[in-house]
Amino acid sequence: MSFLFPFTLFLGLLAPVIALFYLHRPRRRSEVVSSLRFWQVVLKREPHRRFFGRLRNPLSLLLQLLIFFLLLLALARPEWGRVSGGQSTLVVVDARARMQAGDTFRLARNAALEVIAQAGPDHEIALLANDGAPRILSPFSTDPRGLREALDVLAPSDAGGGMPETLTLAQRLLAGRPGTARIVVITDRPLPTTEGSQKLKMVLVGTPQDNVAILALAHRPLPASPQSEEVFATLGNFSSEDRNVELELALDDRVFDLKKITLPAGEERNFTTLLPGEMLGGAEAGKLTARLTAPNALAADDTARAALPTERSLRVLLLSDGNPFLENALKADPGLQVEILDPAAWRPEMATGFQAVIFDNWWPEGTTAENYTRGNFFFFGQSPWAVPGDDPAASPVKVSDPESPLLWHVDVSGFQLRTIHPLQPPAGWRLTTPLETPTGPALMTLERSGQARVVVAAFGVNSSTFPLRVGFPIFVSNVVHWLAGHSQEPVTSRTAGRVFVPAAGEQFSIKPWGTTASPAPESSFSKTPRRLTQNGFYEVPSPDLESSSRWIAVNTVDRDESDLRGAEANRKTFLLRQIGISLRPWQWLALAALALIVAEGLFHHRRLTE
Amino acid sequence: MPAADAIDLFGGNYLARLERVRLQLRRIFSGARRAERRSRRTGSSLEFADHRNYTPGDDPRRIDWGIYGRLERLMVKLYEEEDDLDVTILIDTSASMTWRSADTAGPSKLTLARQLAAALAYLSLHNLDRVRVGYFDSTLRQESTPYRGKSAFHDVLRVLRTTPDMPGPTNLAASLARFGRSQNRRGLVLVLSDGLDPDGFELGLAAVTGRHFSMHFLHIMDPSECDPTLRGDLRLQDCEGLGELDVTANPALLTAYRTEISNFRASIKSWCARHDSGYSFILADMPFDDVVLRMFRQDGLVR
Repeated sequence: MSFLFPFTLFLGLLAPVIALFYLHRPRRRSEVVSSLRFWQVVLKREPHRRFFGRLRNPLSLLLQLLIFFLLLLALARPEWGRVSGGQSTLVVVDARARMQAGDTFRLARNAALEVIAQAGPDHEIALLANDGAPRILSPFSTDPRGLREALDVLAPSDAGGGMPETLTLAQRLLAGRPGTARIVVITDRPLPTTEGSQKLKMVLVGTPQDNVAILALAHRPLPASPQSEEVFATLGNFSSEDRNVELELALDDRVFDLKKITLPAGEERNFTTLLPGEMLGGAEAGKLTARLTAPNALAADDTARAALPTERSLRVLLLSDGNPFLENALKADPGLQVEILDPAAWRPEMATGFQAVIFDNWWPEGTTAENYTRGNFFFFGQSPWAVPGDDPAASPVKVSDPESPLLWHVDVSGFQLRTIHPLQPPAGWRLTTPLETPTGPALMTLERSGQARVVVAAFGVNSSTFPLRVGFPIFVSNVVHWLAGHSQEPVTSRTAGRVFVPAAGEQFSIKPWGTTASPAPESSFSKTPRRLTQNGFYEVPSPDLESSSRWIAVNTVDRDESDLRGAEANRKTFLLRQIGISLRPWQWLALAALALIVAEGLFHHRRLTE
Repeated sequence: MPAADAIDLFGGNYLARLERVRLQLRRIFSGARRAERRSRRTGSSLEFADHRNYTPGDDPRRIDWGIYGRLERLMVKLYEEEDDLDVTILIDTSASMTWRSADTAGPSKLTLARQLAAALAYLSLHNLDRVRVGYFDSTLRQESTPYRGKSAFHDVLRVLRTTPDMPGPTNLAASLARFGRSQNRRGLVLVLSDGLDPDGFELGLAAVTGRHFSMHFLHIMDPSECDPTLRGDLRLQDCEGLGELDVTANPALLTAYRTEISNFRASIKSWCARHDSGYSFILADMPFDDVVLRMFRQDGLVR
């Protein structure tokens, strides 16, 4: 312990003055009474009155001296644990979804305020929040007001995870600090691993709580009726008692199913239901919402969302002499409306009426690459970009771009090509080559923004084993959807806290809103990657402004966040944090002096004067 | 007591009301002269008492001829003899009776005692009783001659206006024992006192009742004696010079004091009941009219 103003302690030399006041006994006020008889009887009958009467003055003197020294200590401004050269503390405040339970986050904020309040004047404090990923709230500072303001704007997110990354960042930030340094982690339960624990101090807040949660929500087209969707949900009961809950399912805020479910204690249950095609066809936004109605600790995991595709039909023109592999692959996708024509019937103006035109191992004579700068085309085999000459022999295929939307869910391992049509990558296009061989690209995508998209396969049905593989219909579907401008996954759901990367030219709302919300201002959209930490539906407006927006559903689906039974609180400090008291040492001393003054006034001074 | 007080107090209207009440005795005493009060003797009043057989020498006018007609026996009517009564009013003039708190607006206990004594003397004189007035503190200081008849009321007032100059401490035992020894005729004794004798009231009152006097104790206290308003650290001084006491007057102590005063009153009242004596408790600020005409009637002193 050290003192900010130690010279004030010399005022303690004045203490004898207080004692002098007590040595000087003022004369008692004389009062003539008719008889002393009854006063004598009372005092004789209750001798403790005399005893305390004699004791009162010395006790009062002791109280006055104690009050005097407490005030002196408060004026000297003592500081606990302050060392010369300052001290650095990095406070990590857990702002994950589970901190929303009850008043856990409020207690965590109070604990952080307590750390700030107890810091000395040279003590530098930085604030770091973990809301699914590390976020710096305040750099190292000795300004308590700025630190408190940074804490005031912090709110718990709907995201989970991120604590290891946050601790790693915290240790890096502390690495170069002079003097002693420590990390204070304020969370609701002990961390599983505490590396560098000699610098780490855990402050645990909150109490164990019961919770029920939606742990998963998914959907898929019904195989027997592709226009309808099958909806899956997983519910969990994180408590020691069976719970009766209701699960409400709605599409665009219209309820289509309500289930009453009994969840056994500590177990999970899966449920399925059917979303009828006629309801799905009339959907405006395709927002599927599952809502759990049951009293429980955490609200963030009581609602789960999913975005359904609303544009069901893409028009595709297949120009082929007859290719059952391609025809069957296109028919397998219920979202495609396929028309098959003989190549002789092709007219260039047809391209505008279809989202994709597929040339099956041929291309119109007399045309060059420059003739395909408007529209969406898939050249399967022959193409204007093929290099004239003999086709090379078979060669192994290598995936050069595993993130390509053409290869989503497609397994190309063991894919063999008997021959290949060597391709000449053109200039003036945005080019990717998801599949390559030693002799050149096996698959090539070309794109001119807002004008044309072209996919060129350097192999045909007869020159590869690809059409025989399970992934071929998916590959064809991926190609058509990419040509139609659907570069994202068909199911657009995200876990809260994950980064969303928009496609080129695409933007998305930085906050979620519902179907009834008014249009957001331009500033509410972002074109750069951003973490989505708040549950809800995020809008991704259509780039061409002709079709409707699509939506990204963000949910808290994390067992670690929903299971609140492991919370631990430090009982000693629980009460003070509950009422949000965080005082400096001198303030505690002044409060103690005030309490003694009040007590002395009540039990001594009042007896003298009343 | 200022003379003006007495004149106002005993105005014509009040005296007329006072004449309608008379002292009530718990026992019957024999008087010396004929008066308006029942006696143990039979005599010549109009109140019939009994019959007895006629013996020669009896006044033939007293024979009850009605009985003779029915029973053929000569019987003589007996009438009650109505005597006067000795009423002694003893007033405590000790220093405690002159004490009054600065907060008290009413008269002192002694002033009220003299006013009450005057009223009681008047109604006794009106009933042709013999009234005497005495003062006491540590001893019996003064005792007047007996007065009889309403015309003597001014003499009584003159006595009441003169009190001992140097009041001493209270000693009920010595004072009342001396009174008892000096009296040959029994009668009614009215003791007006605050009862604040350091040695207790019992011996003094027993000296009166033990000599077969009928006694009524008029216990007069100041309101601030019963409910003091003292606060803080005090040095209490006894007004009779019996010492000092340091106390810290706080609510708890005052509550205990009030309890003690209540016990004191209850003990005197209980003692009087056990010894066939009357008891009236009077606060010095009580309306005088209310005390005499209502309280005394309730306590059985007058009827």
